[in-house]
Amino acid sequence: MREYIWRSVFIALVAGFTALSGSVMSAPLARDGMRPSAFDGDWSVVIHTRRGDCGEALRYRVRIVGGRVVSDDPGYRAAGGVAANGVIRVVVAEGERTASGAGRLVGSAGSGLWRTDRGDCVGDWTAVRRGADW
Amino acid sequence: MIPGMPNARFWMDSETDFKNALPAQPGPWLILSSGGEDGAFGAGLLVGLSAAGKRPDFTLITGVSTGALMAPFVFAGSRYDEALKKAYTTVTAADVFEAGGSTGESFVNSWPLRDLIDKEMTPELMADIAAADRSGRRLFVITTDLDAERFVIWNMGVIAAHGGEDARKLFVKVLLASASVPGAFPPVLIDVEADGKRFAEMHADGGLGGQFFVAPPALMATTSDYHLPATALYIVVNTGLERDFKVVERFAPSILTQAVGAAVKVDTRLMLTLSYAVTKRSGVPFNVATIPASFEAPSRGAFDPKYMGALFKTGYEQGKSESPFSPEPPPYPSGVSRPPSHIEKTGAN
Repeated sequence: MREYIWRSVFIALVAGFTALSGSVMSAPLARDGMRPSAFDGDWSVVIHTRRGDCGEALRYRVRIVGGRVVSDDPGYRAAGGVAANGVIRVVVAEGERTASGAGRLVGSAGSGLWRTDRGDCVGDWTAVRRGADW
Repeated sequence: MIPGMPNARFWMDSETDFKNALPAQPGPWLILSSGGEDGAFGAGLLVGLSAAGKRPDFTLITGVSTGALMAPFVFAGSRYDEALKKAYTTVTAADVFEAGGSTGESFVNSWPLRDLIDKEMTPELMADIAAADRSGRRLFVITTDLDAERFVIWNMGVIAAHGGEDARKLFVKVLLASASVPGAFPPVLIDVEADGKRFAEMHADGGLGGQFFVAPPALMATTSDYHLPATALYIVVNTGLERDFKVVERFAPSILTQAVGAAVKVDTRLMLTLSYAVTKRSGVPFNVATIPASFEAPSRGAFDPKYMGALFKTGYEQGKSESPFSPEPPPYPSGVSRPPSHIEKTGAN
């Protein structure tokens, strides 16, 4: 752990956030602005790589505010949103690398697919809403 | 002290407390080092020893960091070998930490590891550990009390023997603390009592006090005449000791990884040298198992199950071999660094 944890953080910031992806321009419900969403809050997202060299499974925290995916981490840029019916599209970028994905949130869980824009990695993701004691 | 469990722990620098807590009868001691996911080597080695029917009945087991995480399974007996194997061959990074969830105390959040430990430390396992403790064997786990800047030895058998959910939760907290690298993982707050007042101590990775633990520093010193009351010393080093050449990226996490990794190797080698000297002084056979220099499976990132599975298999085969342990510390490397046999993915390329 000692040897890899720093690298893990790096991977998380650079390569991993490829999971919840989509396009900023195509993000749904951008017109909804910051109206409260049933999906607002913190989510824990596990990204599984099914093809490619992007790590077996990585976990990230994602925050949704007013139906929009918010990034408060300086290491990457994330944007996108979730519609009232739970359909979510997000794009994540770090440097020249971007990835996009889509899926659906239902209640306190969700799932979907993702891929890097270069196509070198593809996979799926699952999400659960974070509890207060996490 | 821990409320209700006055003998649950003692300072590492307390020679008297250490001697009083030792097993009643001399026997072989097992020392499990730090090493993160490379703990797969030690897990494989110990399961391999069981498979070959030659795992000693250790009277004392000490664990630091990943060594602490595997120690309860080993202490409770070979019927937990399958659980030990599973823990080190199927876990992924998602089971250990969450990125982007910094609490302000660390870069990542370790709640997944906390939940994983909580799941693995079952009441049945606690009962078996308590029974082993009652039989006179001992299980020590080391953490660092950051407030006091002192290292703590937790007598885990005492905690398990106390029984109840509160004791099990404390057991889990101690294991989590022992494996919580400061800065990367948040420290663990443990409720204690002193002078009639209760407060929370901040504990972190036991590796800050050394990559493994044999005895208090004053007793290990070359100027001491202390003799280890053991019949043999077995040290399992879960850290690769060979130089690992890689072109370091100009990025803080990469620089820190390489720097800390280099320091850990030096620290481990120095501790092995000292431990070897103490066993010679004590007339106790010295045995050490290290990751073979020939092991070169690529890692695709933190807690890569394929990498850990390969390392477990390497340890397992070594455990089943004729000579799982070496009677001397491994030789120091000399000459140039080993060139890279592969380019490890770091996310930047």
